[in-house]
Amino acid sequence: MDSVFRGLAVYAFLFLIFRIAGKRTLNQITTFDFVLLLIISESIQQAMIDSDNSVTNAFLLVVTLVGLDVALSLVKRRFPRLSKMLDSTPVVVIEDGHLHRDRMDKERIDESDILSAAREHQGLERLEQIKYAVVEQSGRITVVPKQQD
Amino acid sequence: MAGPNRVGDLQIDADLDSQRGEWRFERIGWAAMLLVVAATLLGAFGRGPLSRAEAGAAGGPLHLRYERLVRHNSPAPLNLELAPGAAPDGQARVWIDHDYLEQFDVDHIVPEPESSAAGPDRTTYVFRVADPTRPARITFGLVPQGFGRLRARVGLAGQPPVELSQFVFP
Repeated sequence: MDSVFRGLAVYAFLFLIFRIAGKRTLNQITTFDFVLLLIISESIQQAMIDSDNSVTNAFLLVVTLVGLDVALSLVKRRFPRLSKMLDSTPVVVIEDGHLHRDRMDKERIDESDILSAAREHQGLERLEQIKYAVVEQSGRITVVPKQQD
Repeated sequence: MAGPNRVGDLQIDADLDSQRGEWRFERIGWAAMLLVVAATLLGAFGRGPLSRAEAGAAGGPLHLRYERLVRHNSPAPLNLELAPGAAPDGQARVWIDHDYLEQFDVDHIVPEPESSAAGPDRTTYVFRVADPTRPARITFGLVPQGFGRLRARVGLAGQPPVELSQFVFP
């Protein structure tokens, strides 16, 4: 019985922690964040297993976790407002060439992050070539270039 | 379900009001995390100043040192100090409520008891004391297996029992 509770508790806890941490935490590509995600998985594992190394426990945990994922995705389709709370929404940080610095601050990104994304996805060179930049739900920054005349 | 909104030329499901609420939630969450870290350092979740506990009179026949806040499956040693004269014939008889022991894995007992006896509601351990004229120390290496509040009595044969109270975090 406790396998289910343990799986649920760990899932809910990690979900809450990463929502508190913000979109970019899950998407950063610096070494520090990569190490962080690795260590988190190690920290959680022992607690979920709790000295029960049986195949039964492993199956129960997986069923609980995947089942919870499926249940949540169904709930989100049914209640779109809940979906916004659970999944976050994209944030437009450059709108028609204009930088929204307050939103960039809140999302903890700066111009170099946007430029890096612009180079990576669009091969752009300068900030003024960007028409729209959006911090997506996943934390990735996507860029729409200005139309070349 | 309504289709995506528009921001300028972009069709996108941005919702700034909802997002502002989310930013506020993030900030409250950060404050909460800071509180948790501070509380942890103080021992609110065990292993710190807030969590150390003692029971039994300091000079009395039986004195306990233990952690009042412990964690599931994480060692929670119980230290006993027997006053000089507590084991007049070189043998100390220590009993512990069995209800309490049931909640633990007894990983080790230092020193090993010479014998132990089962009773209806308590387990009695008999330890050899090297020098009955000096204090003696015994450690039970206990590992909690459940969670929640725990209350127990520990006693020396022929002496009033000492009460201890713990909380096991899951």
